Amino acid sequence: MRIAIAAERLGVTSIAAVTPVDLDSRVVEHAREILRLPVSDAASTYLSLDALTKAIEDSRATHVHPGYGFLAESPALARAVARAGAVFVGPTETVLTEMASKFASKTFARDAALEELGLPFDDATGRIAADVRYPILLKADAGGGGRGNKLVEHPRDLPEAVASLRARATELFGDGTLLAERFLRRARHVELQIFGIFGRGVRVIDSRDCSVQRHHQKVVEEGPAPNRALAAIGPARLGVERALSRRGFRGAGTVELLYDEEDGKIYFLEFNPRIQVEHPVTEMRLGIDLVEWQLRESLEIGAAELFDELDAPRCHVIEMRVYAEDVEAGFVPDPGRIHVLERPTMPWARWDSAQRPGADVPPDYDPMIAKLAVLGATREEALIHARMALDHTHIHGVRTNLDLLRAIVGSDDFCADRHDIAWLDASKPTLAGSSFDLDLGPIHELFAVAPADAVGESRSVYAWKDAHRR
Amino acid sequence: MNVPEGYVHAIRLDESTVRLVHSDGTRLIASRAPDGRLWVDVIRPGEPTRRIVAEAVRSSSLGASRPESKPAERRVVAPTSGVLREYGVAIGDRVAPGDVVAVVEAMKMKIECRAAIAGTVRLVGAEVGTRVERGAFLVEIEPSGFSVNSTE
Repeated sequence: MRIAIAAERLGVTSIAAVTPVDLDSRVVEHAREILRLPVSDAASTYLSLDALTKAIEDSRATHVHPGYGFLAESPALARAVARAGAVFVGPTETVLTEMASKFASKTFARDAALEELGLPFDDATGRIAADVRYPILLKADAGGGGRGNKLVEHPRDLPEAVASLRARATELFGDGTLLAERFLRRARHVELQIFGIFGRGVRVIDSRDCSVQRHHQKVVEEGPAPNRALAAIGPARLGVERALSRRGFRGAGTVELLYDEEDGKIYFLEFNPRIQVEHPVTEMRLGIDLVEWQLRESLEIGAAELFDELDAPRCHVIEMRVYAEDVEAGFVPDPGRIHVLERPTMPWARWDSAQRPGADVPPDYDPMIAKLAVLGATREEALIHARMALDHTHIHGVRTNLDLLRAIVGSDDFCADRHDIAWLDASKPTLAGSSFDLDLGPIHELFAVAPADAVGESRSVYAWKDAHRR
Repeated sequence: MNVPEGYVHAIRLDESTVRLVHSDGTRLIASRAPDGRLWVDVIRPGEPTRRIVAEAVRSSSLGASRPESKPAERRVVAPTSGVLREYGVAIGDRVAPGDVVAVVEAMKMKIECRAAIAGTVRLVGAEVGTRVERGAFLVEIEPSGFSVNSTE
């Protein structure tokens, strides 16, 4: 939808390639033309490059925007688009290939002079350099998702930890190869918004902090990143710009980093050559439309002037992801039909959503209902705006994480900027408030219907935060 | 529209949604879902917004201020809409509270549905592999001899 609107502003005809299941989605209302992809199964269609290639050839498309998902990072798609005689909106296939490979992105980190979490660990001898700072995290190479990790607090515990983890990894994965990483006790997730213009090079245009995470999923994002983290990034910013310029990077990308609150250093996580979910933070801060930037860069519509349109912003933006989920049951998705959707309409609030009242939150996709972003002159003002905006958001029909978001932006830790990436999972902020009693009788009466039309008996009233345990 | 007693203000936003202001300053957004349930957001100055979801009532019982307490949970229902992946039990099996009796998959997450009471499985609902809506009946458990009346 964003792409179609940006195209309309630029006077470019947009064609949406959609599968039958997406025919009632919003992109269809905004695109100038619709191109139906043949298969009905969403999982296979967007992956089917042959179908896409054919669709591109059959249409008069000159440029292909891959969206914001995993396709935007796909070297195979970039190649298929080129083969079909069109231009891929984004980085070149070579850059995408490099970033898709873990090993090659290590080379990028070295080029950009960014330190990594990985430590020089000799798997054969089970030894590590003597000057390494503890604690360290031992990992089974074949493991993943936290399975087969061991925290080592002191050098004297290393031999035993190596032996026991190797035995466990061999038993679990049939592979005893181990890796060692720095373990950051208190880390912040910070990232740099990158934009590359053909012929003008690559620039870091903004920073963000996405440390409020549950199970490694971002919940609240803000920008800019804290000053101490930006100071720690310092010269690495130039390294990133140079390393990406040399690779001829085009379009939008994000460098993800960890900032260690204890040693005050920055570590490289990964580079994503696409627009991320949290891009509204940067768009609001800079007053730009990154999707339009991508199109202008690719279609060469005033591309050279893009960087000149930026000035140094002084404001702060906080973005909150509104999910349809049952937080207390352990973030279980809660699909269903939304029958009331009231959103904040203040000039400093932005609501990005494909949902509207009467729409279903489907059970097969990400349960995100909306991204709610607020702008303030300072972080303090943005926090006040965040609380206000949440209180002007009303979603009926599915359970949401709105209470959790209220608890986060109302918590002492988040307000004082002393949270870290483990904070949300560890501290589980809840809302404080006095208990209340509300006589629902008069409200029921407002919706009074003939007895035959009413459903069931007056059985239960389960209130906010009430233990409606099943 | 009529303003209920105790309220200073009531506006109907659409057929199923009403915005109310109570004389004590509380703001309410109330709506009736297609299934008849009442959803109310309660906004009090200086307090976080609260949410109430209430079952539909018959017009005749309007004004009853206290709802009855829930009966013991004999039925295990789908906690969310999704696909019923498997049953952890068969008819005639004995279960204890907390036992996984069924697994529903939604958005690539496997959600375990657990027995709330001890007893014997008497009935199972949907077929494995089919779509179930939230609240769909999955398993009925006949309580064991001892008292299982939960008091919530």
